Amino acid sequence: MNLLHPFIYAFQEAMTSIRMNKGLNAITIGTIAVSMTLFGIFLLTYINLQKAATGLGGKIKMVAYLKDTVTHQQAESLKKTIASYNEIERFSYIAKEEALSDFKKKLRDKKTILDGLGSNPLPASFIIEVKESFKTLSSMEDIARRLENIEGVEEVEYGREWIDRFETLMVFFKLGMTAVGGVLMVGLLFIISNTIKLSVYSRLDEIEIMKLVGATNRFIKGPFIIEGMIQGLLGSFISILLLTVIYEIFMSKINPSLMIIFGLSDLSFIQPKLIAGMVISGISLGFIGSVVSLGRILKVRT
Amino acid sequence: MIQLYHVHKNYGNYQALVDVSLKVEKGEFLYITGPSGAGKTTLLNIVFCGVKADHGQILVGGKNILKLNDSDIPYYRREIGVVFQDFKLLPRKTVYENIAFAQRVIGVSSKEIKRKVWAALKMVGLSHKKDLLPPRLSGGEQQRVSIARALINEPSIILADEPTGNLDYDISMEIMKLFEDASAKGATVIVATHNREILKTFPHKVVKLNRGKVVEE
Repeated sequence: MNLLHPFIYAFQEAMTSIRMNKGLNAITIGTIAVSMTLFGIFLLTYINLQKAATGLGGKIKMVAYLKDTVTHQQAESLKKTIASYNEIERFSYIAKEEALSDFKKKLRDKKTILDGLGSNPLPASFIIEVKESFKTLSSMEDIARRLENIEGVEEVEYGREWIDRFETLMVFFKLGMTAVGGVLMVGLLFIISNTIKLSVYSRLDEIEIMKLVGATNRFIKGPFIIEGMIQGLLGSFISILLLTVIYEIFMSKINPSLMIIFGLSDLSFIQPKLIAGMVISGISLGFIGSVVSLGRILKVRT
Repeated sequence: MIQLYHVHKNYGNYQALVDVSLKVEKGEFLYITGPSGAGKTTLLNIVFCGVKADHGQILVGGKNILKLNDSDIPYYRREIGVVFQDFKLLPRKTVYENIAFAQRVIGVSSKEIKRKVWAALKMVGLSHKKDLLPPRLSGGEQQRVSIARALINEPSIILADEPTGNLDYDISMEIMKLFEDASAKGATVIVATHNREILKTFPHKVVKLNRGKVVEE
């Protein structure tokens, strides 16, 4: 007995069933495709938001303001200390005088308002750029705290609120994606299992005869499980195709200046690894949906 | 080969079999006869493991079939060929595919299936109709396909429930001849029928049932 025969037979029977129940299968495959496309749109948005965050994050700088009492020598020693931080990509020192002259340049024709000042009110500071991997709220907080503890540092600013808000947004987005994904998954399981049930009911006579001639439940289930997996596979393929079309249309319509605002040079498509994940998820949904629906139906004795 | 001891089967309040005891030797040909509702089909179904007896013991080939697990039943059924009055053929499969079906289910290779199906088609005289769908065949031809399917796995037991029920005399005789041949090759054959012509033309041991009880042996 060749072990491949039952598999080949199951595959042929699944294809026959799909051909025989074209309408029903088309609806199921279509529903899987639309649901997975919806999920894919969420995924695309998430991927690009994350990309925008990385882009905007590049502009986030940390500023450590020094106390007025810090001498030139102390400032030199502080430079060495900051340079020893692993998390810091690069930094520059802005002396009090430099800060004032920069400020005056920014004020341009209104710089006369500073004329009345007896002394320079601006502090010396370090403009610090943190390495990409440390641009998270917790890492930035940690670096700022350590810098503030250094003798001579008055205050550290790093756009805490902005990072906090963005991270919260991403957490909510992730939660939303999980919720939408979960609901879609349950819905798809329900649809697939019902299609398979209808397919089983339309072939109950055949199943009865299979049992009469000694077919095992595994042999009977095989074609239906493969049918479910094919539905999942085709549904996910179509969804990837739809997502590609949506992405291309969006790319051709979007205003490039809008992308620049978000710090994006272009929008990313779903990475191949995630595409493979979508296909595997589609096949798995088909498999689980069929197994769930067959469990009870085939428990009948004859 | 088949032994039933004090078998009872009820469907709700209806007593389908009452204290039935029976012994069928290996290679024996046995008729189960009696009026409609006598319990003939239930008896065959119990031997086939289609329904479970409420009480009693049933030994088939030395095995107590009441103790079979659900997962063992398909393998047990491969030892039995069944033929029904309504043929139970797959209407969307050709004659060839209907017969081959019994072999595919047990995982026989396509080459072996081809050889065996041809032999079976030849045996029932339907080689020339192998590509037709069952609805295109006459009742007698459909029953011959059904018998070919039942015999292709060379079962040691053949159970036939009113196999000539809707067929005319000549065709009924042809069908019975096929069971006779199978019996001559060593199969144990049990035919449930109330056709007296058959009992006269092909005389064998008869067990008569009435209201679920064995009334004559």
